[in-house]
Amino acid sequence: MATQSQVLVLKVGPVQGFISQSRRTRDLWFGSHLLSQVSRAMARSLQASGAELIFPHPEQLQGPTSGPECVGKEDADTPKGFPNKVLAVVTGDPESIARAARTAARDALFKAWERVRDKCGGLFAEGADAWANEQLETFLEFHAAWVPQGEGGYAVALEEAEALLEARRALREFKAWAQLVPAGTHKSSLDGGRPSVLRGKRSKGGEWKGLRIGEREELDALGLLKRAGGDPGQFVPVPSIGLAAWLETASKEHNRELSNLRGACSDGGFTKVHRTDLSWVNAFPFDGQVLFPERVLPCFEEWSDGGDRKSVQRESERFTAGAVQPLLDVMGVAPYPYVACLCADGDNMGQALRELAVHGGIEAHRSVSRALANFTSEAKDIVQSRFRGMLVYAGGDDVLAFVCPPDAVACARELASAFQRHLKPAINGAVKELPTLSVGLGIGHVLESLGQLLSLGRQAEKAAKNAGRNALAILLAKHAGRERLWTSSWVNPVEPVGRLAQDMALLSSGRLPLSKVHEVEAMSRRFAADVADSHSKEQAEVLVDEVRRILSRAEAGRREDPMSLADVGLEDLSTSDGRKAHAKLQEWVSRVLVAETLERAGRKLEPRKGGEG
Amino acid sequence: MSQECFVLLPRDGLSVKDGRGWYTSEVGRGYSHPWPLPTTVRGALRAAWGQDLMTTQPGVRMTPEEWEQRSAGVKLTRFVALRRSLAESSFKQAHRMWPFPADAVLVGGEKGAVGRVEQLLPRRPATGRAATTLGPDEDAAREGLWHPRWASKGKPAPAPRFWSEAEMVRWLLGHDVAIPRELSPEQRTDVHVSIHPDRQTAEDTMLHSRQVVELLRLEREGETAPRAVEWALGLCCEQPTRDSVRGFPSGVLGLGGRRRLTNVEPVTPDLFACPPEFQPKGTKGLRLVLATPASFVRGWLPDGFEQDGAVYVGTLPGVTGPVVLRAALVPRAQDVSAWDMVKREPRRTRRWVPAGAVYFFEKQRGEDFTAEELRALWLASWGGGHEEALGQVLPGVWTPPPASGA
Repeated sequence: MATQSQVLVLKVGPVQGFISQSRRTRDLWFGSHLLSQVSRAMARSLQASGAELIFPHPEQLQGPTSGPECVGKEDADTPKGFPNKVLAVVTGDPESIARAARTAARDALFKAWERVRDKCGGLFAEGADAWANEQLETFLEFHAAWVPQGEGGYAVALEEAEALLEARRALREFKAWAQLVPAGTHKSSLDGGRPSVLRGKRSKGGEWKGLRIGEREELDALGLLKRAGGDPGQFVPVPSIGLAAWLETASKEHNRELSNLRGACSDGGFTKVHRTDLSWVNAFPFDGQVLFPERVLPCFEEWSDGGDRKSVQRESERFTAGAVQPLLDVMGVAPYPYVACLCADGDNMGQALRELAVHGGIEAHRSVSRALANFTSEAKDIVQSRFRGMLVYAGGDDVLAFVCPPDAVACARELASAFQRHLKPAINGAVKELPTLSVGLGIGHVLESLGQLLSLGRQAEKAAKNAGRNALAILLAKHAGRERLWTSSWVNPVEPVGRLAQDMALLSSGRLPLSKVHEVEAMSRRFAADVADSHSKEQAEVLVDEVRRILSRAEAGRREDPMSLADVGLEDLSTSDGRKAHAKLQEWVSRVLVAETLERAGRKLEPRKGGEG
Repeated sequence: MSQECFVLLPRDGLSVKDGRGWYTSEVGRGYSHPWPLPTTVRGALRAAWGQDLMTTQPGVRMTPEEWEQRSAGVKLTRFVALRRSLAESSFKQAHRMWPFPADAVLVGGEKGAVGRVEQLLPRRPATGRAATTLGPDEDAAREGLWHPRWASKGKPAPAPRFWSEAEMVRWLLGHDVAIPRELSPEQRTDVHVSIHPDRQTAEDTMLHSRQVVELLRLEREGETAPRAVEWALGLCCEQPTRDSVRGFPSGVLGLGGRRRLTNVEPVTPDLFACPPEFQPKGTKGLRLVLATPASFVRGWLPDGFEQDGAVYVGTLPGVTGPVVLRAALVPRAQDVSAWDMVKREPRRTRRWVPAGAVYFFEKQRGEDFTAEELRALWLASWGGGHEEALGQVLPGVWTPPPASGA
């Protein structure tokens, strides 16, 4: 047995693909929670073997570790995110310690499955236990690497272990399916690769209804685990998050009509969300979809316990006329059906950790680990309490959340500030570049698939990184119209929150009609983006003059109030060459159109400034 | 046995739906594979063959069951991606596009810009097991595989889906390759609505969308004017010996979701041959890059390879003597779900090794792989699914690292 201390790195997966296979909010949340539980089990196993944990910080392991309390409501209120990579220094036999961690990870997965298996026995196809077990057995990707701390010490051993681990992961071994499923078994609707474990004949109502499994929806073992792993009442539906600002305003200004709608939803037997800790959820603890009249009938069809289509249609029409329409009428502004998926990731963390390993060793890493744990705790408070959002995951330097569009930019700003506030003292000037946080906001329709919303958020996060890091990126994907992307550094002379606020004020005041923005875009498209050097200056002058002309022209029916380039945030356009002027105009158009969406989403609604409980 | 070689040119994009259902969201969404699967293409060829047979042979009418039985002999023997300028009128070997190999990694330059291509070279494990790894289960031979080390720090840049013929040939010969351009067909989303027959307006609850792979696109290199390029599928196909149809396939073909129309252009078998530029010398180590997905009985582990102590030993098509599998660079499994058109029910899911995976070998007795062996491996079939052109490989040279003290 080795007595020399070793640096041990463990990694478990799959992560992104698994999480994004989600239809309901609970799928997304529980998928993320499940991976955290698996990661936590590995970390606890290492701790039990006497390992010195570095990532995650040992304090993060406190609290319940197994049993129903981990998937119940209480645990949902404290979504401690554990990164999928665990780092420790061990003094015993690293191989047996790694094996024990692997067993712990597998056990955590199977314990969660057993609870779901017991709860959902009536949903299973005959013989499905066999292929469900195979799906679970082959699901986890586990890899470990360890290197003795030799003369080079911790930093050299860590670098070597991480390189080994990544090299090992170049082979993603998998086995062919061995279980023969009956002919005609459907595949999971979410995964597409694993056979469904659900039986074909389904009743309306009962467990099927409680778990919101659609009539033609199929789930494999992992899909069912995500759907049924938690308590249905703890998950806030995405449409309700998108409409959080609208609903809270309705609650304050038109409570009578909103109460009427709440009562009608209760009478209709819709699933209630139980989140007493979040005032904005309690304004309307049901799926916000019912606020869109065209979605009322599909909701009634989903929730009805049988009955003919005509009576369901009559019931839905009565519901719309008696409960939904009165609220829409008094509000005077229609709910805007978009939601922001927020994805954030630390910048330069790898480099900073490498430098810290050399200069400060294990202690420096542990200090960063604690700082990240504190940041993730605050991230939950920022997203859920200070702004009207729901945290899906916060672990290490990663955050994933859903926020209503009117709050999204301010929430992103607050997270970026909190990240630096926590990391600065931990790093204490020991690295060249203090890590920062890049945040992506993917804004999409509330009825879009969660995987698609997540993809928008991740694309936006990537755009923020490509924009030089320490930045915000907003990717807007509206049902009609092409995608719009706008990025801005957090440290621009006018930072993104202020910049967008100015644009929104300009749009809401009516001084800048949207038609002018589209006119500028159409005009600039007629010019080459890659203008030859010989024509660059002339093109810049023409572009500037054309934009001036469009902005200053008074339109029929509007008061004459000519706008300048500076009024719309284009003051530096005239100093550019042709290419730069073209790019700036395209960027300006995207920015104003993003601002227009945010303005529309928050029109006549009460904004959150942060800091509210 | 007759062999037909032709190119399929989809005119309006292709939707090759993956196994996920429409019910992944409140509004239906169909996801497409990024590139058509051989299974989909063979299915379309079998359907076209059946139609051609019934058209050309008077009196022949097949039930779905008969069609399934008689069309089983329609085999896909070659399946390559092609890309040419719209200004060109024929396809040549230079138009071939190959899956980006898993042993090539793009190293990021400053501020996210791509810097260079680095080769992942498996290293012989250090003696004494000073540094060790552990996988998801117990398998001494798998743990004995060699692993590549990436010399650069930081995260690799995302790789393009395809690599050109010239780049791939250089890579297989072990030469450096410049940064590849982003060469991949794009995806677009088509939105569909249902029109209510009485109101003649869209029905809100029937809105759905599907991803479509766009095979016609504009590409621009640097300051040059953009040019139109088209992507296509190069195929060779065998017909059933007894029921051979002359001039097959005739007319346009329906391919993928909604049976989108696809032009057919005949080509010669030379299009699929080993290129004259590929002239390797004898080599101690061999790399096999999967040009098409592979179907192995045990998942990632090639058929015919068995554990022999701490290594896997087996044979390769056209190679003399047993070989040792030294390393495997294999991405996650490609799950393939298909629909049985006769029984109107889903088929069993299959798990394939994705195209682009790379396996490294040495001969067990230490001899070199000869140039002839390497050239004979060009698009040789490996594993199962030969009727779907699965497991076609590209051979490359590899210099294994010397043993310590050697």
